[in-house]
Amino acid sequence: MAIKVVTDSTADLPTDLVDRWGITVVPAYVVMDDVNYRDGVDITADEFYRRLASSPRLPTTAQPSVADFQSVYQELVGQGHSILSIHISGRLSGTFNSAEQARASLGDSADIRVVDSRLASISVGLNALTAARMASEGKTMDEIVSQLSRDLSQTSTFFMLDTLELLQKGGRIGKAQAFMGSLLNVKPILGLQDGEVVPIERQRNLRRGVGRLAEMVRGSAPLKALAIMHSTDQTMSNQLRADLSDLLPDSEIVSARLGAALGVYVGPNTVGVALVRQ
Amino acid sequence: MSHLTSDDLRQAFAAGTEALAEHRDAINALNVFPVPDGDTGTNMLLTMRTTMEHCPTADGKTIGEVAHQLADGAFWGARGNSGVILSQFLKGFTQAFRSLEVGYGSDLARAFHEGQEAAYGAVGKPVEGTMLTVMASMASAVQSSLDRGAEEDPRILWQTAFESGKEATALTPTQLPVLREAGVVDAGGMGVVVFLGGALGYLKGQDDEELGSVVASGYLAPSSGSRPSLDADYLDLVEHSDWGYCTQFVISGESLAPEVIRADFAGMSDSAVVMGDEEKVRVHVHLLDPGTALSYGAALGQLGQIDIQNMTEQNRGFVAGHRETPKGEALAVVAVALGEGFAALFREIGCSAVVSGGQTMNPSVKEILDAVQSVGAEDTIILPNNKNVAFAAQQAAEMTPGVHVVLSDSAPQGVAALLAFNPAEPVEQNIAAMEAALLEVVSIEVTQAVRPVAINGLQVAEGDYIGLRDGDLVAADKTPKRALESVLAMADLSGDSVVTLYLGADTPQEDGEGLQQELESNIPGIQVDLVYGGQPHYHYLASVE
Repeated sequence: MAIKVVTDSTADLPTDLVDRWGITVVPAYVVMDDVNYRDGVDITADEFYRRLASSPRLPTTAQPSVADFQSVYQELVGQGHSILSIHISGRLSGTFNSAEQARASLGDSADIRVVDSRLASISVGLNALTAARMASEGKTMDEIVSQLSRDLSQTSTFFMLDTLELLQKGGRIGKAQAFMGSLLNVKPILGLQDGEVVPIERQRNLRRGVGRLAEMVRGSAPLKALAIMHSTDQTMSNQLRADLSDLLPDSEIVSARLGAALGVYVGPNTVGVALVRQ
Repeated sequence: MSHLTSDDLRQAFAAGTEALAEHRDAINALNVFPVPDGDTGTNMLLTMRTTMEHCPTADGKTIGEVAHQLADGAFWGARGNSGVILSQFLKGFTQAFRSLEVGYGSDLARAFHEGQEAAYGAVGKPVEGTMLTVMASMASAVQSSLDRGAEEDPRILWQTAFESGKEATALTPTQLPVLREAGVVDAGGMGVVVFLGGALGYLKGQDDEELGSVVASGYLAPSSGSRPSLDADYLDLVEHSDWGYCTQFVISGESLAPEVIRADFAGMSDSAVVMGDEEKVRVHVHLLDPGTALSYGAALGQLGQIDIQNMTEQNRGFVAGHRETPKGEALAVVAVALGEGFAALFREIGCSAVVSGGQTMNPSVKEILDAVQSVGAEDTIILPNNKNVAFAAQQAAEMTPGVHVVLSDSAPQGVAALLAFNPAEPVEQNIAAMEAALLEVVSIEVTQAVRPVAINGLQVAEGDYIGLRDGDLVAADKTPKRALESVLAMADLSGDSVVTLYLGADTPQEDGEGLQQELESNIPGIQVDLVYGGQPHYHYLASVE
């Protein structure tokens, strides 16, 4: 009997970390060219971004179904485990909702906590890792949940997009709508606040934007956890990682790939950071 | 016209499709039921486009064959609530012509009747005051006109259907309360009217129906602002609702029972539309969890054409599009600028209003305050973008609480300041960030000397082109391009620099492109952006950062 951590594919956790910490990842769905794919299972990030450029219609996404969560929960509960299920912001996706419905359907005898992280991508992943690590140390559910609630409030996500077009068409642009435009070449840096996308600032090119992202991370130090994410351009994320290598031991900095489900909204050339302050 | 040929039917449908294309946005804007997400016009249009693709020509076909192809296309193209209902209407409509060579007036009457019957049949819980009501009204108007002994001329009957559809659509707010609350007629009904109106135009050989004004009459209250709008209380109400997911797919299988499937979905959702036969069934349903619908369908057969749309998000976009000027915004920016290019740019990157003015056309304090008032924000930051305008801007700020000035001396500086603006942050933080940002750029102006002058060791003749750097005259030459090049040469350009060139109203685009290419090939890594400023008197404005 142990505490098992469940998250969804939009947490963009690298496979080696998922395996090492025994985390269960429930895939979101990506519909591309009229075919329904499980994010990270039926379609890799590489394949997704390669096809995105030539896809005649914009791909869409759907959250995992209630049944998807039910079967994952049932299996873990059947093995005698308690479950901590942490997910992408309920304001950006219906995933939390599906998970919550699945939990409710299984009744009170199953010990399941479902958490709306109010975050997205690897910033969810970093917190799922913390939970899994604490579970492996034998911490109780209450201890883990209390640490999570503190950590979530200290987590920041900043990301720079090449274009806001996909985010807008996908209906996730929120207040970052203010940064839409095509007359001038600018790269928007966005963040997450109260579970929604918010505009932070605009830079004149990706290179300067990467520099600003590094400054933002430094401004948040000392850090407990740090992750660098990218969609297609690993050069930028490698550079960021190198720039920030003095902030944490190298083995603790996570490099994450934005998968297909979030790729539908952020598109190519996205780079970003997720951090948890000490 | 004694009868409809196969070509008449196809051409009329094609003309109706064109009419939907033309008025799609206006129909979208009326869409408040069943979900206020503004896609009715688009869905009907996309449905019709696929319908027409399935029947590329009527050559050598009977009207029955054309009708069959159209019905088939409508099934595969059906999209969205309104599209599925329209598709079902067309299925019934075209069935009336099955096995016929040509269509007479009585066939057309039967077509309208079978069309509305099929449409009602596809909807799990039919609601009056929608396109269903409009279809029913058209069918009965055509039939009773025949019963009264009217001519069997299909063109006249089509006109009767169109007129009746218009009247029925105008009455929808009396039948469906949500329409009355929103202050609109039913969008789907209007879509049907537009489609029939377009088709009628073809049959009569002339477009004498003013479809644009018919669509515009879909708003109950006369327009107050720049365009008709939905009731503000209604927008407030729907903005914060959870509308779930619009879920559509086609089940392919054997011995499917559309009526059983329809009844099951009607039990789960108020807006279930199901149509099809034993081998293929199209499902369109609104659910909080689309997974349940998919699981249900997958148990019956193979799923195809799966399309899931988040209607809560669509609704937010729809509501935002319907709000008039966002009154009561917390924080806004008003810029003073000359040139249509700059006006468009300032608006796009975050100005709520742009006052026309600059070096030679200084706006009055009142003009600036009028713009501030029209924006109606709690706090407004003014970018004067010219030293000569600074005074009027400061006067405006002194006279009015909540008005602030960030002293930008040039339009390029103003752009840099505006890019640092973030409406989500407090006003003081924005002013500080904007003032810091405009100091990060070197601003360059190129214009023509109006009199001879000797300054900074330069002898300038009248008509020479002069280059100014941050307001100081530092170069003079015989062409604007060379004057600009001289100033740029003093700017310590490197591979990290970003140069933005704003072309004046009379500056050829090729000149700008030439400069861009020269700079990019001489200084590897440099970023040179070319923007049309459209400003008078200044051949180039530029910033280096």
